[in-house]
Amino acid sequence: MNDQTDRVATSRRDLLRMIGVTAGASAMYQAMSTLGHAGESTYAGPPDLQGAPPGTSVLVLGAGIAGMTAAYELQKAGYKVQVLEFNNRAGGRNWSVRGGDSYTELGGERQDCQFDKDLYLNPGPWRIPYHHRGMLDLCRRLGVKLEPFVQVNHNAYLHNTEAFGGKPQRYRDVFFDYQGHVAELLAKAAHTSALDAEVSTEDKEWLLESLREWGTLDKDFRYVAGAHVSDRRGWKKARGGGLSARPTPSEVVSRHDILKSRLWAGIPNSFEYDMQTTIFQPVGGMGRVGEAFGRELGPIIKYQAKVTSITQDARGVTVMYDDLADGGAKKQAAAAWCVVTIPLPILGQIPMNVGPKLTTAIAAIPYASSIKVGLQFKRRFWEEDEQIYGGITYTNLPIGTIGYPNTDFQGRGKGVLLGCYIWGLAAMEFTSLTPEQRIQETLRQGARIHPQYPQEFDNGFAMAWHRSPFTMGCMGVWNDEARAEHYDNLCALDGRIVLAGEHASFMGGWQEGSVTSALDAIGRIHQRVVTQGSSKGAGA
Amino acid sequence: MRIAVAGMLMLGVVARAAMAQSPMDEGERLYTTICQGCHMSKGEGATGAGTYPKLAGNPLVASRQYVAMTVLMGRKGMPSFGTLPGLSAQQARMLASLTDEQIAAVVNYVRTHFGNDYKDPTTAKEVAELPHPGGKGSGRAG
Ligand SMILES: Cc1cc2nc3c(=O)[nH]c(=O)nc-3n(C[C@H](O)[C@H](O)[C@H](O)COP(=O)(O)OP(=O)(O)OC[C@H]3O[C@@H](n4cnc5c(N)ncnc54)[C@H](O)[C@@H]3O)c2cc1C
Ligand code: HEC
Repeated sequence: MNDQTDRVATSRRDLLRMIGVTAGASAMYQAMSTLGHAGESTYAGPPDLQGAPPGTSVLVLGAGIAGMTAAYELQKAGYKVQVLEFNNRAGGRNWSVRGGDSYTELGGERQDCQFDKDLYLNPGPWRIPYHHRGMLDLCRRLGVKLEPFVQVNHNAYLHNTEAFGGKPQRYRDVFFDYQGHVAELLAKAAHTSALDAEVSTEDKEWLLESLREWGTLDKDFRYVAGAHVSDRRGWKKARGGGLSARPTPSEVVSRHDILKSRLWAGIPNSFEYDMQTTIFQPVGGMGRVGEAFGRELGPIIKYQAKVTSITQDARGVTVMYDDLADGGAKKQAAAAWCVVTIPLPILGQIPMNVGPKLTTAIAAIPYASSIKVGLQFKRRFWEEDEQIYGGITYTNLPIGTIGYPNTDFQGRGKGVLLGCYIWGLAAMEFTSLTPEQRIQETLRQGARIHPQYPQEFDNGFAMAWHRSPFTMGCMGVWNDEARAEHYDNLCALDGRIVLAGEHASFMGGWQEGSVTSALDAIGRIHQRVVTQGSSKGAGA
Repeated sequence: MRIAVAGMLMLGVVARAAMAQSPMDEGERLYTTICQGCHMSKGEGATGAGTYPKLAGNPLVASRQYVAMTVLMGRKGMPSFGTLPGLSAQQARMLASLTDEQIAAVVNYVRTHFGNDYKDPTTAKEVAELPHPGGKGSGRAG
């Protein structure tokens, strides 16, 4: 019981902050907490890589966003590029699962996705904010169309099993009641002499005026039900036209009930820099980016190539790989330089002759656990019954998040919800289940918010990132100590080898980190190539 | 077994209060809700582009200190489960931090299941002597 109450108390944001403070070695969320504070993307347009001796060769390991960004720019500048990729598709974590796709996770559980035509789940990335300029430019150059991603939906829910009898509350109601009560309290304090040491008489006038507008306070600076307040939180009896349409104001929830509910914990999610409007999603699924990129690069990507060793000497880099399309035959590729974007849990197991600092850095960064479960329903009941068009519901239940599709509004057919999106211990526990059990558990919990679940459920797809054969985790987890000790070593050029990817950035868990890290890495290789004058000189 | 695990999930993340009455041994509970995610239900491990090592019949499991150290400190794709100094119970849970008692229980579970049959159990006291994350050297900081 206590544990449960504790959980209830803990919003995702709280955790991020808390864990940022303690900087834990196994801080699952720590990297996420840095996301919002990373500052604007360093992307400054496509790089200028002119001047390398023609035919200088680079081997790129991994065809995710980082690897393909590196390959694309290098090739355009006249480098001879080859990409080795474990999967039989391009994109890595950039991926959408559609009907007819099949996926086998580590441990052998296979899922055959049954979604209807045009419906999809983004098991990994799903949103791109407006300031991720590298990703947006990539979409533009690849011809990938974008549409809005709804981050805040005032009509979606905030839900806490311990508040309001477990009944989900509209985001709008909680947001405005919380704001109104805070404004009222602050106005009260300003009216006594409590703030006199803090604000001048003139500022106090402005403060009170601003509180009245911000919090919809009445003439006596009280937050009370009325037309004003209902213009924000909605009406009890709706407005309309004609004789039958005289509205009744809605009631406000008391200060005590709002504070006690802890539902306010769900509000700051959208305050994050990376969650601010405008946010986009690719039309047809995030995977459209990786697919388009793969088509663009064409035959230079060798698929089903599992890298097993990376060896450099003074002249270049030799990579051994198992050709899974050829019965696992052991093959070899070589180039003057090598850009490695393989996720660290895997890379740490691949023999590679680099210095001890880089080796230590690779071993020091654990990967977070994350779960996403897609649920296909027979109808879009969240729109039809509840007027929720896109956006996100937050709950203290282990499923954490419900994401509504941000496209095809009012569609008559089926729809796919994101029924669960979590990290941390709850994600580890979900990982320990079979895909079918994860789906059943997601349904069971989600039905407490949407009772239509059992009736309308059609089929599902459950992604556990620690079971991903091609990443063994969701994203690299950094804390302040690890950053200080290992980050520069992880990114530094080691002889002829350089790492790039989400993990080699200050934007962990974002594709923009992959793009900017790749550009930074190839920029440094290029510099070395140009100053050495020849790709074949003694480089290492 | 699988059904039991689903039940555990509920206990683990929804109604942990009931846990105390659970007949499942603490080591088994921890293995089936945490370790199994990567090392699989029979300790058989798994291989894709990289590998989760098997714990079944793994000769390294012979050393109880090695297993305990691995769980405490983590390494590469293996997360650290040692409790950092100064965490509240709530923080420890979110970080999947385990107490020395819990680590001893899961170490003993791993070393006596999946065909492993080691007769030298570790104890919370012994685990406490090993290096912990955030601490320097051995012993328990903070
Ligand atoms: C649940 C989740 C939600 C996310 N949400 C967002 C979001 O909303 N917005 C956003 O921008 N980002 C998001 N991200 C982060 C984003 O997915 C990553 O930052 C980005 O896709 C990583 O790209 P990468 O190229 O660095 O790595 P990857 O995409 O992992 O590419 C690495 C490639 O290496 C290949 N590989 C691995 N091992 C080998 C081997 N041995 N031999 C050959 N090839 C190998 C892999 O198959 C893979 O293709 C999310 C991630 C997750 C998991
Ligand atoms: C996120 C996935 C993950 C989880 C969860 C996990 N492990 Fe591991 N474990 C790994 C990986 C990866 C390695 C290999 C590390 C390496 O390459 O050195 C490993 C290694 C080990 C080893 C050493 C085996 C060897 O051959 O060296 C032991 C013992 C072990 N884990 C026990 C556990 C126990 C007990 C738990 C539960 C408390 C657990 N692990 C949870 C991923 C995981």
